[in-house]
Amino acid sequence: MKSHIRRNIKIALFIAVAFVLGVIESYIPVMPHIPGGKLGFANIISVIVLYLYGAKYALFVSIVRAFLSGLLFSGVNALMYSVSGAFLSVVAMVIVLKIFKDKVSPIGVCVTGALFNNIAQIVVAAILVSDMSIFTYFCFLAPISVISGIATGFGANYVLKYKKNLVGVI
Amino acid sequence: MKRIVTKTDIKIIIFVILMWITSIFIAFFALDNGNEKAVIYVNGRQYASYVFKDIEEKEILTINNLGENVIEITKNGVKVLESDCKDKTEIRDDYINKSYQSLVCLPHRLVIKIEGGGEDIDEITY
Repeated sequence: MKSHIRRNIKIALFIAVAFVLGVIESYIPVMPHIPGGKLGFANIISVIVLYLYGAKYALFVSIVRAFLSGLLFSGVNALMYSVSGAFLSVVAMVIVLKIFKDKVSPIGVCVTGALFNNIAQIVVAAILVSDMSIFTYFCFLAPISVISGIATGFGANYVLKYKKNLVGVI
Repeated sequence: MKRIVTKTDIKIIIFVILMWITSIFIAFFALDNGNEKAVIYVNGRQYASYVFKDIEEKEILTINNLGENVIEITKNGVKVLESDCKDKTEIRDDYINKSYQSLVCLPHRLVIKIEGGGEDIDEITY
């Protein structure tokens, strides 16, 4: 099979896995009144794709998955939160990787990803609602994003440790 | 032996925690978007609300619910003038006008909170 076909299939599978992770995490109530107070499990997929295939594919997987999740579960409104969160978090992760290169591990990358996901969502919410008091939600989302970032970071780290074995299989 | 969590990771995490702490300060102490209102709750239900900006002189209202409280609302804040409450905890020297401040008279089931402006969203389905 040609390598680019194999790669595209794998990317599609990653999107599907990220989607399922999103479904699972939607059943865990984090904060009922906060839009986008989510745990960010799918972030783990973004990080893995980022390390394995690079920025372009990580961006692609994140945005497509956010789009799918949003369309199927929420509605056009919440779509804006998810997609902007996905976009900004991948951009932030790419920047962090570029700046720190080998000094940062997937854990730090995941934490920034989770953080910027929430930042983007709060900014979008503040714009849509035209109320700066949305900003106070950040006070609650920040610690959540750190903890979930660390957890997903350990997960991604574990997967990527066996990268050499995986590239043939995954 | 290589560490799993690098020093840079820790720096990033500390950075995020610092951001979190600053945001708490900003949110509670500096954020004033000009549309604050005093919302008066009697028996847990909203009784009246006054937007500070829209008040010209001052408003005085008396609420008689299990007891009497006289409330004054001006452009600068809200204050309880008199109350026949035993506690008198809600009577302070100064007005309140920040979102973390409130006046509560428990025996009379009276709560005065400061709420921010903008649209009130109860819940955003996500």
